[in-house]
Amino acid sequence: MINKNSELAQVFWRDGRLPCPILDFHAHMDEHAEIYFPFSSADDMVIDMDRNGVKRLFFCGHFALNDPLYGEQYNVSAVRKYPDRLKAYHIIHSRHLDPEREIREVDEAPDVYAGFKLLGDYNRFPVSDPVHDPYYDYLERTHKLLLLHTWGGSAYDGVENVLAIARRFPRLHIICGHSFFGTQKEGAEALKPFENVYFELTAIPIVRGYLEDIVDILGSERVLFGTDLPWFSTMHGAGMVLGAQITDRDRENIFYRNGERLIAECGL
Amino acid sequence: MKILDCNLTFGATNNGEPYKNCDTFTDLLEELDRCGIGGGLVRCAYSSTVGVNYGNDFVARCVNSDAAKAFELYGVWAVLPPFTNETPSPAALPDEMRNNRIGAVYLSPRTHRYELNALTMGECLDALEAEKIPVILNTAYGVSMTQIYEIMAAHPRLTALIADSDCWPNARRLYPLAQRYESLRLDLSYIMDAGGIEDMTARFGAEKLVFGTAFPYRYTGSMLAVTRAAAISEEDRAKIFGGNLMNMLKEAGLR
Repeated sequence: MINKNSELAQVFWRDGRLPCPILDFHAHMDEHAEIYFPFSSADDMVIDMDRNGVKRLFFCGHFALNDPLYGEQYNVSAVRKYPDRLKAYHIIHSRHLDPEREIREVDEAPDVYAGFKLLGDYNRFPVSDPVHDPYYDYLERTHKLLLLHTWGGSAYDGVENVLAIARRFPRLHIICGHSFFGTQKEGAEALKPFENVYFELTAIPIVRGYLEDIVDILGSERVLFGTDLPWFSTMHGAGMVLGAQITDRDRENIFYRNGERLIAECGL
Repeated sequence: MKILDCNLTFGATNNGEPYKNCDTFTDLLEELDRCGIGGGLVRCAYSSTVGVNYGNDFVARCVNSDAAKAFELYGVWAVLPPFTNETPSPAALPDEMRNNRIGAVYLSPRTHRYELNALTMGECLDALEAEKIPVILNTAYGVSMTQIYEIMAAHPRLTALIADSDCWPNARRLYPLAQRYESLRLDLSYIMDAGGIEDMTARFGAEKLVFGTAFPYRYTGSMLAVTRAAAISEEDRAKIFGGNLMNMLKEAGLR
């Protein structure tokens, strides 16, 4: 039953799917050089969404993530194929910046893009470096999303880096992917005053207790569901939420209420 | 459908690992009751953190206690190379396990500070292979994938329960083993990628797959939900959730 103290968990166990929708704010797509994924194309993603009750998926495909020159086009084609289900983050490659062009691409395709994504650890480049400010300024002005890969102890996307961005752009909607994995408590304490900063749950399921840390400090109202699909199945993250020592109200906030509010606020 | 978890651990530690620990057997039983797991294989961390026999004796007492009767729990023992005579001899080990409700053994060469090779563990693995005793080879316990490949090459009929605890999907390392060795089973505790269980079921058959959660390192809910929602037949789901582990124990005369 996963959790005898949760009505939501018991309904899931009985029916094999949740009685509420899921909004997934952190996903990928397509093959990856280091990993075999049995289920990773845009078509696979949508099949997975249908099976698991995922209403919308916000993603940045592996091709865009890892090919600074030619990868972005695959994000566009996936969203255009499934416009009601998918929305992309345009990648920012810190060592291949072209803010004028990239901001224009996002601005001219509101049907495709929810905002930008940046992976400081992968680029080995601090996300707080002012070189990214034109992107952040644009996102703040237009109420679009910034998804950051954040990781505990990182010099590129750790707590201090994100704190610096939040101070410079206090109205920017920042999603902290992986919730500063390993330093989630310090991250939640530091960023609690910034009401547009959200924590996202990708990778959090692999250490029991991390989710409760985040909810205890930040509350469940600023936690978004995310999977890293296809790295983690939707149900791997959902199962953590269902089984964790939090309330059903918290679970619903995480699965969809917070996401619906954010989508409405940002006009997505 | 009874759910059996092949990857459970309890026992107080003093180094902050796992992050949110399960200190006592009572705590373990409460978690199993809360999430609807009916039993499985349980390891006492003391066999790695205190003393091998201290932990092995502890888990044997626990699984044979009155408190455990509501569950179908079997202990897991650490085994050592026989040259120091610390754990039962290879010849005596299977019966010792049967007499103490022990369902599997695990190897932890890094923690127990021995070289894992044919000289040190060959005789023991020969005996376990012949008796069809489940042997847990989990990289989380300090066995490398290279060592797992070497063990399986030397003991191709070993009833091995394999786990690669890498947090990245690991099919390229696991699939060759699953494809080659008939008696090998995969512990699903760390299989979390989209479509992973479905893909493995289609390739190897559900008989190869054994449900596990890696509790208390990981959330029990994650793999319960993945397995509950996997797009496989109900018959296959039942095998994965408990049937396969029961069969492994029966074949070894441990159940």
